[in-house]
Amino acid sequence: MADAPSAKIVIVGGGPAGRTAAGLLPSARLIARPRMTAWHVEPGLLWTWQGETVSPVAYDVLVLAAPAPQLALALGCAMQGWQPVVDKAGCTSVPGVFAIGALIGARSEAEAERQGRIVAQTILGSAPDGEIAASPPPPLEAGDVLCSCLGVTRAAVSASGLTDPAAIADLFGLRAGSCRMARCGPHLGEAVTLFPAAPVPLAALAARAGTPPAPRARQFDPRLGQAAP
Amino acid sequence: MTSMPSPWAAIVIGGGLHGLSAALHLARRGLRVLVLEASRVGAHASSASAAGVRSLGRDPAEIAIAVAALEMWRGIAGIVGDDCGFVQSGQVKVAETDAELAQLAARVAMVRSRGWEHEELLDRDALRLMLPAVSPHCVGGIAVKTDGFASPYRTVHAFRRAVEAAGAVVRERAAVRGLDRARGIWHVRLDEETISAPLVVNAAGAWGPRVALMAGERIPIGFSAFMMLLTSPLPAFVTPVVGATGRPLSFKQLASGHVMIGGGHKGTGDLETGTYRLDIDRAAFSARTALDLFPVLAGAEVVHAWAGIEGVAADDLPVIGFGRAEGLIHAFGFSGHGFAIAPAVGAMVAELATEGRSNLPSAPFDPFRFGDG
Repeated sequence: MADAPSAKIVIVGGGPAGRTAAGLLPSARLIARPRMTAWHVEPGLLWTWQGETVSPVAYDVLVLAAPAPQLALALGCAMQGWQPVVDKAGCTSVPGVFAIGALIGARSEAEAERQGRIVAQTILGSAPDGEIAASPPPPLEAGDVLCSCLGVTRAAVSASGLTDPAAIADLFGLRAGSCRMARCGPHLGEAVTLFPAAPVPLAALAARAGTPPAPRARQFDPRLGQAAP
Repeated sequence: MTSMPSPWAAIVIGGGLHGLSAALHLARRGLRVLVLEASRVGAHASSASAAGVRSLGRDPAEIAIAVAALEMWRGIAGIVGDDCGFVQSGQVKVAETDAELAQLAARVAMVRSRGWEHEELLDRDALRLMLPAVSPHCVGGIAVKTDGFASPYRTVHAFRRAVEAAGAVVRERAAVRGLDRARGIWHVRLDEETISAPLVVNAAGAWGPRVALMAGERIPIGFSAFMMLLTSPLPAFVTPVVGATGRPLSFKQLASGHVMIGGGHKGTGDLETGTYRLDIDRAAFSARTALDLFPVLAGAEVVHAWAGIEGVAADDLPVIGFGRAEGLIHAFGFSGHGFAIAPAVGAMVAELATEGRSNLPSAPFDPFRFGDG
């Protein structure tokens, strides 16, 4: 990455980890609430919304420093529970995508800042002054509150036995300040992967719709060989 | 492969709703059935489905099955021991222009000419009786008031429990790697072992063509990752499931107030990993259409979005029927509207397996209607 100085660097999250990394990477674009919300991501493209507008932000290097595991899931990062697995430089299993801070279990502001510094140094190509290690969350007991926003306990989730999107929505609803299942997610069992990482206004999304696209063609299993009809 | 006779009379490949329904009907006919699921039960299209129970607007080839299935849904608790969250909400297809309404009127006439009475034409006023919150520009529609929807995950798991109660065995994380027919029996190769049975049912959904290839049969249908959006809860404003005529949309409000928006815009799927990607610019069109039809959605937020990988045929009809090899039945490629007909298709598969023919017509679903490619 050091030999690509024009690389577009995007940092998601305005907490201590994200701010520290942004301070050391002057060319980076910081996406942070409440000014702008990162709500979904695909390779090379971070989806944001701001006011009435949904728009994509292109990136070459992405630093996830917000507690939004869905962003890592959407990119197919290897996960342990709902934490992306990172190497000692903070790089996830997807090249060019880093994860730091609360997302990988940093328990203090100082630790989050330290991780932000190491990732910035790695991106700049200089020797990092330390290593990153994720801190997996401790196992939860049945009575533990999984979702502090809603007071949902682990026992309640087990009893529901449901993991389809509508059932999860029923259980967790949507309230201001919802943790978006950052803690409870792993305990929903093999929950369906859900996006987006943050609610996005339907009208803002609808406003992107211009000329109707041609219907997307069906895909075919490459093992079928020559072009299928 | 041992010299011991296999304990299994049938192996169903695919633990989605269709595989489970086939297994249930086979087990109730006294067969010892093993279901092999590559990942987990209901991992893809079954759980990601909008779970519409719709006889409205079906291809003529599917009407008989859809009507029979609707009858089964009305008594679904008697079949699987759980009501599957089935709600007889009605289904409506809305016309936004006079031209669309004329198209729908012709459709109802065509359906009636074939002897079916379940679809009815709605004028402007009748539409508003069913959909008080519909946008003023909508001119009418068609409806089946006895259609409805169910809860997808709950349905899949109710079928699984019923399958197991009927004596069948469901194995998850059991990916099939090969199929060999020898001495009148199928040998189904897994990673660690080979299991044998005289009958194999290919209910592998988007992976159905891959399983068919293992048996040397080329059934060149494709697949798609159909996207769904779920909004934040809103006060109740619509009861039936709503579709549009001129653009892809299927739309309903759950008892919780959340609105589920689907109907055809596609992301992309990956058969190797079973993962998908959303296509945000196409999802935007789903949002646009929903908002155009129901202005009450103006303040809603999208809280969840997902997609399900589903087999899709060129004619949007499933593949149901015998393979060329002996002891092989294909039932996959439901093309985005298989949830509703699963109870009836499972019965068809069991009839084909045990009687060599099905009560409902299966000819339009001939697995080899596309040629061998």
